[in-house]
Amino acid sequence: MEGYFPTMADLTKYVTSTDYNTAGIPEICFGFSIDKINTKVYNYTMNFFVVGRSGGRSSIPDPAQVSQNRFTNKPNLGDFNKWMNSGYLALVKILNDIIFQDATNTTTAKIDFGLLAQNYTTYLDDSKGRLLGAILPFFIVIGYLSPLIVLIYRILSEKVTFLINSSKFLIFIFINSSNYNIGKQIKRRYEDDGSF
Amino acid sequence: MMGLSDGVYFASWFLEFLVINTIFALINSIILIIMVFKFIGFLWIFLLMWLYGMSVFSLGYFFCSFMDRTRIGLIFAILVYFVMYFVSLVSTSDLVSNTLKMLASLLPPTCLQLGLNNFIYFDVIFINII
Repeated sequence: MEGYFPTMADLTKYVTSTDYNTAGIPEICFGFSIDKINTKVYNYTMNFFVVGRSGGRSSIPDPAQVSQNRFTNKPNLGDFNKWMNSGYLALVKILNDIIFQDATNTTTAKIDFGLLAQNYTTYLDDSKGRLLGAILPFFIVIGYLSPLIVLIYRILSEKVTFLINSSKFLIFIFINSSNYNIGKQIKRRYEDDGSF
Repeated sequence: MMGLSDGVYFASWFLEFLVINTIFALINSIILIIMVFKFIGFLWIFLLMWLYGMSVFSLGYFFCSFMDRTRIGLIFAILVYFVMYFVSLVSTSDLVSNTLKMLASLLPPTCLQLGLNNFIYFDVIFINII
C-alpha cells in the first residue's frame, strides 16, 4: 500500500479497525502521518507495525554480525544505496519528499542526499581478538589430539587383538577337525582293507 | 567382542571417554575462564569444550570403523584431523557464507574454531563497550 494518512488520528483509526488485516484493509508495515500546521510548520509521525514475516535475510550490511560486516575489511563505498532504500533513512526520505512537494506545490520535487559510511576498523577489527581467535583454537585442537590418539590406539589395539585371537581360534578348529578327519580316514581304511 | 553384546561394548567405551572428557573440559574451562574470557559465563565455555570432546570421541570411533591396523589408523586419524583444522582456517573468512559455515561446522575442529571466534568476538565487544 502506498500513500500517507492525513493525520495521526486517521492512522490510529486504520490500524485499530476491526477489519484490519482483511482483504478490504490490508496489513501495513510502516504508517506515516503528516500534519500541515501552516506553510512553515509540518508535523509528521512514523509508526512501525509488526508484520508476521519470518525467514527473511537482510541484504544490507549488518554491523552486529562479523560475517556481514564490511566495515572490518575495507572502506564502505558501494553500499550507501542499500541504506538509502531501506530502514529509517528511506522513511525520512519519503516524508521529506512529500513535504517538499507540498511546500513547493510540485509533484516531481524531491530531495536526494548521499551517504558515505565511516570506516570503523579501530573499533571492531580488534587485532588482539583476531590473534586470540587464531591461536586459541589451535592449542585446543592440539590439546584434544592426545585423547584422540589414545582412544584410537586402544580401540584399534583391541580390535587387532580380537582379530588375532579369532585367527588362532579358527586355526585351532581347522587343525582339530583335520586331525579328526585324517584319523577317521585311517580307521575306515584299516577296517575295510586291514591295511593303509 | 569377548562375549559382550554390541550395546554393552559401545557403552563401556562411551562411559569411559565421557568421564575423561568431562574432566578434560572442566580443566580447559577453568583455564579459559581465568586467563582468557572475562565476560563469558563458565557454563557456556564448559559446554563448548565438553561437546567438542564428545564430537572428537565420535570422530575417533568413526575412524576406527575403517581401520584394522593401529599404526596406519593413527596416522590416518591425525592427518584427517589436521585437514579438518585447516578447513576451519578458511571458513573464518568474511567471504564465506553462513550456509557454508554451517556445513563446515560438521567437522569438529572447524566448529570449535567458529564457536570460539564468536566467544572472543562478544568478549572483545563487551570490553569495548565498557
